Parts: sequence; C-alpha cells; structure tokens
Amino acid sequence: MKKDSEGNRRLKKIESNEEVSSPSKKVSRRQAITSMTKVGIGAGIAVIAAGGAAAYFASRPPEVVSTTSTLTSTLMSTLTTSEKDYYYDPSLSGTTITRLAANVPETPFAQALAPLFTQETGIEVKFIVEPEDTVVAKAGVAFAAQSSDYDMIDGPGFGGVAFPWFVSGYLEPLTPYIQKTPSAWKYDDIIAVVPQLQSYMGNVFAFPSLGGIVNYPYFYRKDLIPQPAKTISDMISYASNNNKPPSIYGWTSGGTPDIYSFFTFDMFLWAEGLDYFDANFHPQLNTSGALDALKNLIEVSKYAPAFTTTTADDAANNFTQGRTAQMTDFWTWYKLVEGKGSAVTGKVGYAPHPGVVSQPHMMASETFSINKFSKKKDAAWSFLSFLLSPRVGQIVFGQGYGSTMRKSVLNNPVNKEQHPDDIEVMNWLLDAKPAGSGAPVVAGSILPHIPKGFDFIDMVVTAISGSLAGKSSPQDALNAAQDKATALMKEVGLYKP
Amino acid sequence: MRRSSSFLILPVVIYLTAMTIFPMVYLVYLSLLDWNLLGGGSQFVGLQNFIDVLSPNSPDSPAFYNSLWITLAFGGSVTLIELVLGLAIALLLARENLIAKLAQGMLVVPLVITPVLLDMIWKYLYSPLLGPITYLLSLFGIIGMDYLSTIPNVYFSLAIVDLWQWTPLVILILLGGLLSLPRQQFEAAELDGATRSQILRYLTIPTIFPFIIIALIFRLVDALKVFNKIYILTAGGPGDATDTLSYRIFHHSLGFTQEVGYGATLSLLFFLMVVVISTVLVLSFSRIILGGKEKT
Repeated sequence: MKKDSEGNRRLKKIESNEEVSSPSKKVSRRQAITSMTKVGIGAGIAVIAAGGAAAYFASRPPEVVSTTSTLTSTLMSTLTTSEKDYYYDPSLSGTTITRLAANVPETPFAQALAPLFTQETGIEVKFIVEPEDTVVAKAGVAFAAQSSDYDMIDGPGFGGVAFPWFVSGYLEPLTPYIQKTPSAWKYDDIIAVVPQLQSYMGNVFAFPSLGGIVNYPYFYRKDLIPQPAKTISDMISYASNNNKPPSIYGWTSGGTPDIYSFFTFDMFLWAEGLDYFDANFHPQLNTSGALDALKNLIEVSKYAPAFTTTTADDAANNFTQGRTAQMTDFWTWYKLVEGKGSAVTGKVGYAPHPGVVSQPHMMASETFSINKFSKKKDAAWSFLSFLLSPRVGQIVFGQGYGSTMRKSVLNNPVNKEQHPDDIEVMNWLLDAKPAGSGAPVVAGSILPHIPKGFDFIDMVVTAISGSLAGKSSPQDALNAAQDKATALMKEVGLYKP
Repeated sequence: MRRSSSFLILPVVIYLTAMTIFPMVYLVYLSLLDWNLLGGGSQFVGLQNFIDVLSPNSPDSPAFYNSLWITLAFGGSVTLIELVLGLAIALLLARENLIAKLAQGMLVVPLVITPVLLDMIWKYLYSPLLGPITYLLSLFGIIGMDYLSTIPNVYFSLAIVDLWQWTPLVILILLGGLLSLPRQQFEAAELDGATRSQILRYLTIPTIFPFIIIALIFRLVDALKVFNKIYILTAGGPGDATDTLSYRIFHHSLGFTQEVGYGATLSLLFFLMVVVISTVLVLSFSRIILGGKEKT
C-alpha cells in the first residue's frame, strides 16, 4: 500500500511535470518580461561591479618604476667629458647594430647608456631582450643558420655558454679588436683574472656584461647574530638557534636543481679546501671533503624554507622580508636587502662566506660577445668597448651597480667613500686565480673552460638534489657523479692521466 | 566534379602537411642525429640515441625510466581521482535549483585562468613564508610543513593543483551527459521502487559511460603532458622526484645543455606512448562512445 501511495504520488508528480513541460505550452508575455527583467538586472549588476573595480584600480597611484629613459638622463647627466676611451670610427656613423640580450639586471643599464653612445658615435643600438634560456635557443638557431641578425649576443648562464660557442666558431675573437682600441681604454686596468676566464688559446672571446663580476658572500642579521660565522659549523649552529618557523628560518640560499644549487654548493666545497677538479682535471667529487661538504649543505638546508624550490631571487626576497637569519647569495642583492622597502635595513651584515676566508671567492657574470657572422663587427666592438670603458665603468659603478672589472674604479677614493661596501667585497676578488694555476679555483673558471660545462653542472646538481630529497645517500650520489664526471672529462679531452 | 572537389580540399591538405606531417618527419630526422646547439655541429648516429635512452646498460636510461614512471603514475592517478570526484560533484550539481546553477557557473573559473598564472598563484599559496596555507595550518599547530621540497608531500601538492584546475572540466563533461539523460527511464525506475544507489549503479553510470570515457581520454592525455606545474613549482625536484618526460624533454632540448638530438628522441618516444595509450582507449571503448552496445 505504501508503495502504491508512493507510486501514486510520483505518478501525479510526473503528470504535473508533463503539463509544465508540454511543448504546446507557450510563454506568456508576463513571463517573458519577468525573465528579461531578471537578465537585465543581473547584467546591470555585473556592469556596475566591473566598472567599480576598474575605477578603483585606475584611481590607485601608479607604482614608481625606474624607466630606461629616467636612467638614461641620470647617467647622461653624470658625463663630464666626451673623451673617446673606447674604439671609435667616424665612418661607422649611421650603422644600426642589434644586441640579443638576456633579461638580467645589467641589461637596463646598457639600454640606458645606448642613447649616449648613439649621441657620440652615430651608431644606433637595437636591443632584443629575452629570458636567458630563450637567448640560448635563439642564438643557437642563429648560429646554425650562420645568421647575421644579431651583432652582439649575451652569454647566459654566467658566461657558461660562451666557451662552447667560441670553440665551435660562433664567436668573434676579441683580442685583435682590443689591440686596435685606443690606449685610453686601458686594458691593463682590468682585473687580470677576468679576461683570463674569458680566454681560450690566447684569444679573449667574451667580457662580463658592463664589466661586472659578482661575488657570493655571506649575509647575516646583525640584530640576531652578533658576529658573522667563521666556519660552516658556526653557520649551521646559528641557523639552528635562529630557526623559529614559520616566523623566521635559520638560513636561505638558491637551491633549485640548476645552476643556483651548484653555486651554493661551491661555498661548502671550498670551505673544505677543495674544488671540483685537481690540476689534472680529475674530478674530486668522491673525496671525503666533498662528502663533508654535501652533508653540511644537507644539514643547513633543514633550516631553509623550501630550499629545493628556492631560487637565488627567492632567497633574497626571503632575507629582505626579515624571514631568514642568514643568506648565501649574490652580492648584487645587497642593494635590495639594505634598500628602501626592506624589512631589515640597517640590520644586515656581510662577510666572506664561512670557511672561505683566505681563498678566492666565486666570480661569475653574464657575458657578451660579437657574433662571428655579424656584418658589423667593428660597430659592435665600438659599443662593447664603450660599455667596458673606464669612463662608463666609473659612471655605472657610481650609480650603484655594485661591481666592476676595473682596478681604477676600485681604487677611486670617491668610490671608496661613497660605496665602501661594494669596494670591500670587490677587493676580495683581486687575488682570484683561474683553474690550473695551482690555487683554489673559482666557479667562474669552470664554466668558460670546460666543454659541456652544463652537463657537468647537471651531474653535480643531480647528486645534490637527490641527496637533499633522500633518494640516495650523499656518498652514493657523489660516487655516481664522480663516475659520470670522469667519463665526461675523458670525453672532452681534458683528463690528464 | 570529383576533380574539383579534390582541388577544393587542397589548401587543407597543404596546411595539415605543413603543420603536422612535416614537423613529425623532421622530429624523426633530428632523433637520428647527435646535435648540440651549443656547438660542434650535427652528426648522424642512427638509432644510437634510442639505444642510449632505452638500453638498461646505458647510463642515461635510469633517468628516462624514472621520468616515464613518474609521468604515468602522476597522469594516471590524477585522472582517476578527477573522474571519481568529477562524477560525484556532477551528480550533486545535476539539479534544478539556484545554488546548483551558480555552482555550475563557477566551475568555469579555474578553466579560464591562464595555466601559468594559476601555477604561480599556487606556488605562492604553498610558500612556507608567504603562503596562507602555512598560516592557516599554523592556527592548528601544524608548523614547518614543506609542500614542494619533500617527498611525498610534493606529489600531493602537485595533485591538488591539478585537481583544482581540471576537475571542473570533468564535471562539465559529465554534467552535460547527466543533463541530457532522458527522464522517462529514471521515472520508470522510481516507479518500480529502485533505490537511489541502484539507479546510480544500474542506470545513471551505464548511460553516461560514453561521457566518462571521453573525459578519461581528454584528461589522461593532457595529464601525461604535464609541464607548467613542474616548471614553475618544482623544476623537476626535489631530486628527480617530479622529473616528468615533458620537463625532461624541455631540459635537454631547450635548457642550457641544448641537446636537440637527444631531446627529439625523447619527444618521439613520448609521442608514441601517448598515441598508443589514446588509441587503446579509443578502440576499447569506441562502440560505447559511438552509441553501440552498452556495458553494464
């Protein structure tokens, strides 16, 4: 019975629904007007909401962004002389050259200086700015096609790609151009190791962008840590003591499985008195020192927030916001961590990286070179030599760029007074020596001089990240990397028995 | 007439040839080369790249099989969860009320957000310093969670992002199927006294099975190609825990190593894998999709 009454109720419901859904039923005028009104009200509300949102955002004050034109006028206003301390040929006036540039901090400076260069020489400079991996891809295609679309090409990966490009005949040797540049350009004024790192078989093939070279020091919070860490053990201890997540962590650095974790690992390896290779290019990855270095990195990374997904930029942001007590990162971030808007202004200390006090520190930079297939090589060198000239080097350093390759800039008393921090950190690099000199080497020496350098970096990074993730023990990871690296060194012909 | 009709489709044939056939042929050609764009030119090596990738004795093969396993496991897992979740939510939303209609409209939101932007948003959500997830968990005393830098947290974190982004698509496909079902059968079943679970099991699911298969094929093929999330959230890490095939291809072909030949080999193998999987699925369920004999 219950089922029947339920069935009857459902039957009635079906009947009533059939009446409503009968195809012969027409919509009345009242229903149509009601529906249209509802739609109209809804649309009106949506338009008002969208308009209100647009008005709100339009009325907000625009962010203050340093434009290239602002930087240009600033840089041009600092010019005190028009002496040509770079390669200049009046017959090149009217030429237009193209630079394939990486989207790095140096590029806006170069773009700001280009109008000054044009004013002095009549040579127009066109920039094509792309992310680093896009620069590598575009350059690779251009070289394969022997294209002259780009006259100057940046070498991303801190110049790591420039060496294989040069060995393959894609880059113009710069030594003949240096030799015909006026003596006012002062080649001897350049810190010796810089052209050495960018040379092969007696030919310079690249220079750091804007002449800049970058250090990788140790930053710490003076309000939390009274004295900078002298050893890695100190750093780990300070990290542990100051690690109070989520408000603050003990340490931060670039840890992504790419070149950033490689640079970070450099510091730990050098703290053990080791480098990646010995003088015969035998890899040192399976030594007890390398094992200790990796174990120390694993230990301190426990006090870093999301270490394996943190880039060098993220690490700088973490420190700038006051969320970490220590940082290992590029010196160029000092302006950020002590700058306007930083949560730690006045609280930042810096020092040579723990354990690396008496040894050369990391030196790395983006580079730029002249395309071998360019039809305007002289004009390209004119611009490059302009950017690297003593005058521009002083202008750029004075504007707070933070690094230079010129000893005259480091020794300038005005700079010592106005930028003592930059001068101090740059002076750490004066004793740096490249690979093969018998002295502990700097990371920048690896990238330009080892064919398939990025394959080597991949091997090291895989060992680091695998150990950090717990997928393999540090010893197993380093043994695997050692085997691969040894095979690579033999393959590229650098391994000396 | 026949000749003129052939002539009329010529532009389409040319377009398809240029956009699909030529790139495929060139990809096969590249896979037969040892070519590093950083320098050294290209050298014909035949099938050596394939041997390097597939041979168990090759030093490169463990990394390839690791990528293959991660790709299949991730793609299969998220697809399965999205189907189950999508069906459940679609059944809830297949109603004629205002809340259901509003919810249906909101389903589109994750689908219209640019995928890269969406992944960036999740990267900040997962940030242990900046992310609101960390803050909310801290209110419950859960501190120091690392969502993307530890195993197995990284898998759950990536899966959540994928579920959030693509479950609505599955819902919409299944919802379309549910709303298109003829009411008479369900009314008859109700009259016969069938319970809701019986209706679901014996009537609803078999009837919308073609839509489930369509959603499965769409999602599985797309999930296997996952790249944006890996590139933005994990860069293949921690270690090689999220080194999917797509990311591996990108890393070798377009990263700093620029090994075009090796990357082309991986691409070709990946393409063949996806084609095989999708073909098996389509052939297995073709009669159902095309409205043949239903499986119950």
